[in-house]
Amino acid sequence: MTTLRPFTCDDMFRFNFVNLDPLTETYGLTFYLQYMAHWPEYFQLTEAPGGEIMGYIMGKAEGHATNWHGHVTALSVAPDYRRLGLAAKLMCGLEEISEKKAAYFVDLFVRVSNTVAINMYKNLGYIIYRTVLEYYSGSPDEDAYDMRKSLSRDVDKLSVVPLTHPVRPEDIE
Amino acid sequence: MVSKMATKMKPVDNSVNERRLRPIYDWLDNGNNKKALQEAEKVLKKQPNLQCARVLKALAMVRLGKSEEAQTILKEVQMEEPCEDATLQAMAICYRETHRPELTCQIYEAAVRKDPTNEEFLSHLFMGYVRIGDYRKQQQTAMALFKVKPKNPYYFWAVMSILMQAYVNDDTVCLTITLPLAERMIKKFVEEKKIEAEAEVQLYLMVLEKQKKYQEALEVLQGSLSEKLAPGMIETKKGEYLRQMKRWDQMMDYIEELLRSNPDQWNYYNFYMEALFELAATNVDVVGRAKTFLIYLVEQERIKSVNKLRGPYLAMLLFWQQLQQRNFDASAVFGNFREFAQEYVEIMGDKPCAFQDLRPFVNSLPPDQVTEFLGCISPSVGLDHSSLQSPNTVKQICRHLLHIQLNRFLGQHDLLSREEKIKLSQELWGHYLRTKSLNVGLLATDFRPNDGYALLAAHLLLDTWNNDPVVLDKCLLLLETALANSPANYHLKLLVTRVYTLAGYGRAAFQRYESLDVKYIQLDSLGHLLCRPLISMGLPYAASPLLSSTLRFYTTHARETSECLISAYKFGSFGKIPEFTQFCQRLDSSAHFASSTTERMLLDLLLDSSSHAKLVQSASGMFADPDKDQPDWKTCVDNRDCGVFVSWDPPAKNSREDMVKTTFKDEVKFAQLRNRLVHSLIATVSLSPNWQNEVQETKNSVNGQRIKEPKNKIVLQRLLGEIRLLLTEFKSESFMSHNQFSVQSPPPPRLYTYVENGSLEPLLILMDIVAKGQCHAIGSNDILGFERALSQVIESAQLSVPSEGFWRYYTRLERVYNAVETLCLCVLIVSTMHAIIKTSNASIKKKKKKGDATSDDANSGVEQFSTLIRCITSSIGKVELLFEQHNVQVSFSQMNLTDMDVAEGAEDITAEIKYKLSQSPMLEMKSLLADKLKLLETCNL
Repeated sequence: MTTLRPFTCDDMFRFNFVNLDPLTETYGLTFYLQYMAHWPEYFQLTEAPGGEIMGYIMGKAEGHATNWHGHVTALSVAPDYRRLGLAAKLMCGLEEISEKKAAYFVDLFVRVSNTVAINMYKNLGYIIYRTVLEYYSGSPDEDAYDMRKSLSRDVDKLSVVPLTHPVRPEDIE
Repeated sequence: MVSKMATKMKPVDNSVNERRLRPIYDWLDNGNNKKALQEAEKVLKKQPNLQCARVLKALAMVRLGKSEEAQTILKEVQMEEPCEDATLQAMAICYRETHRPELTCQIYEAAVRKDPTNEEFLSHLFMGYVRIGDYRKQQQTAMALFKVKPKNPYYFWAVMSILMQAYVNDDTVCLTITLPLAERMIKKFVEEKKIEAEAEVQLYLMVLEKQKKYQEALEVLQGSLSEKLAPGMIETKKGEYLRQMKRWDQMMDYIEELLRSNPDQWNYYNFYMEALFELAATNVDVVGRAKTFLIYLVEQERIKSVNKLRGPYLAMLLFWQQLQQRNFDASAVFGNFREFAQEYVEIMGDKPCAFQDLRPFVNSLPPDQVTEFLGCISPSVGLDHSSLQSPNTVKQICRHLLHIQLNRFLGQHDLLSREEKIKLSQELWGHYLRTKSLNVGLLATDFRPNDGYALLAAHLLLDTWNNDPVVLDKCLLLLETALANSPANYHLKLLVTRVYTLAGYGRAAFQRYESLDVKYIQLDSLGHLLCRPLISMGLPYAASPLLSSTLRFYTTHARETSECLISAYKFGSFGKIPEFTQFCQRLDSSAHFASSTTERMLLDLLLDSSSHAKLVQSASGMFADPDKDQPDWKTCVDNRDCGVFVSWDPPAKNSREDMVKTTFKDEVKFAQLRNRLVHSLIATVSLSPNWQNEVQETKNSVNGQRIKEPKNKIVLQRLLGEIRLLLTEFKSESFMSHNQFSVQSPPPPRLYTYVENGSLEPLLILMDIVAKGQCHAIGSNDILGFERALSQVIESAQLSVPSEGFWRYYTRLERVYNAVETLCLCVLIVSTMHAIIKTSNASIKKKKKKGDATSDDANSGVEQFSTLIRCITSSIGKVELLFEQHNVQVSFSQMNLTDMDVAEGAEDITAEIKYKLSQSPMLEMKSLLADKLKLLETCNL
């Protein structure tokens, strides 16, 4: 019981139930607007029957040749609307669009400490492709998992063969 | 990066230049503008005419704050009509940074004239027009581009530019000429099979929609072009088109089809209900059909053991509500509301969102069914309500909270007496404490499942507030305790911020507000929670940086948005183009923007005026224009997110919508009044003899001329007239009483106390004297009037002070601050009068020496002016006395908290709150008054 629809500028005036959460960053306008301008179909939100914004996903398509893939930039659900499968629903939509764009895989970064999210992604079929050292700055810096799920175009599942060694952030393509 | 441009220079004959210019680019990129300037000058010694070096020099100067000199260089280069890419791009950056985007268009227009087939120049020219929103020229340039290089995007840029003209001028011309042209252009490409991208199909649909040609649009969706569209879009659009064409039976079939495969997509149900009831008006049978269909969907969920969807269950409630609202016999068609609601509660009651889900529907429950409904969901909680048994599992907490929330929402708490409310609040707090042990395995960033008890307990307490500060103190204790256990819960933070505000504990409110980390767009949507209230609470120094960051957001957004508009053209996201344009407008016309601008100016005058010279400096530094510096008040928009406070209040009591409307209207009025005030103050100060000197000093660096003195007098008189008109208008209206403000409603507008206090009257009298040029001979009536007006302001401040201290009452504190502010502004005007009198006395003395005049005017002027000063000084003394009488520390320690069993840690929390309150709210007001008293002392003649 969700309305899944594209994110619009006006939603920024009332996405506070999602964004006041300390793990959700509020970015400058350009960040949101550039995503809307460049990948509008990849920026979706879910709305409750009463009109409250429950969560949203921001993503993009990038890369060349077999590295052409969908990427999840941000995924956030308001605390009161968690455990309803909304994140899965939003991820599913992003995968669908990436399929349509003939991407080879979908990837995302997640804090290694965020076990709830990591488990959720695993349940959705994502694997830990590699560890990115000190990807998140802070005190101390934190590593990220680069998680991936292959799409139908990657017939031989070459995109999801895990790397055996961690990489530095500057080595990510 | 500026340096990226360097690589674009033609290498053949420019390689030497590129080598020479490279270091300038590097310095600019590194932010070392001084070095960049030196380097540019070095290059210019060798090649004084090198355009690009001159422009880079100008750019360095712009960034070093030497805009005037930079403009001179840029003008010279522009006259030469440069035709080289790097130069043009550097100029464009200069113009962007100095907010002159129209000049970018001019330089590229000139370049295109010289080199009409240059794709790069044309493309820059197109983007230049996008920045200034000249759609017609966009269209021409895009077509010129297409002629040079027949690429699809250029062609569709032209179509989009045509469509934008239709968005702006929604008239017959656009329906008969503009839009058909756009449609023909696309059709031509469709027929020639030249359509390449999804964006082009979307634009086609936009053009058809704008003309309401839904049948044609539907055909596009059903044809081969639809293959290019993203998933989801076709479904929603098709539903919308059928709706627009009122083809209800087709729509109903179609939505049923969609719902079968996606029974959780809520907007489909709304579509469905609309179609259904449109049809039911002539054919009642469809109601039965809908019932069968909706029950079918529910059955599909009933047979599932896990992951049941909420949609079908809530759809039944929506159906019931719609039947009810449309005067169908809901129970005959449907059976009992209770049945489905009960089933929903069974399934979803252990999720925190259950209340929000049910709220829209429970709302329509007939009053006689309320008790029955609440009774039937009670067992699902699984608690013995009479024995105060607390839940044993997290899921049970959710169910219990839902039960209480629904009770509250359905008006059950309103039936309780004050004592019963307090008792219930204590019970809930008991549940909170007893369920703390269930908060295990959670991260610091997770909400605690039992937070809801604390919130509800606080809401119940606040029901009993009735201006009793002890209630607020108790609430603070509960909320701070809950926050210490659940530091990420923003519902708690928001409520605690509001309670601190209501209690007039400004600093503590500020601290909690800061922990919400409000930034960027939130400065607009949430800024109202504290920005202006901080000033009302007597904390202008604390409000000042908050206002600055808010204004920085507003002043940068336009540039940011226009760059994103350009991206939308580049990537063909045509649907976003009108959206971005409207968004930009919405920010520009934000009432909070208007109010923050004015309050910022007032604070600058107030805080930055320790001497008359400084006052003149800060007033003249604002380059204020009373005619241009005010928005169109009628088109101000409300961007506040007033839904950010959770509430379980019954809808009638809450009437949040009315509250939002009224407070918005009154905030705009206040902003308007304050806007006129600040301009009158500036106009007053501009009559100071010091103003001219000031102007001469700044004349070189400032573009534009000063208005001459007599003209400013007329301006001042006009402004004072405008204020009086506004005041008469506002006084005739009845304001909301402060008791009407619930905790969840927006903060009470300052307009009410401000007008009631007569805060402006003394200022108007003083400014009037200046405007009439009577500073050296103030009439005795004016003196009397002033004394009376000022004492009224002081008295209402004194009256607002109860025995236990005014800081525990937001609006009383506000009245005190109103008095402080009025006094300080009086001093600013008096210091201006003083400067005027001194100069005119000096000239009289000169004349006397010459023996031309023998009058005693000067002496009597001195006497009257001294009376004014004495009156202000003694009033300041009275307000200072108010401060002396109270000690904040007393308040919290006197709290009777024994009836709240806060359990362990209570002392720490109390100590922490006390510490927060230990910084006296009067400190800032005291220092403001002291500062102005010093200035006043320099005004003795």
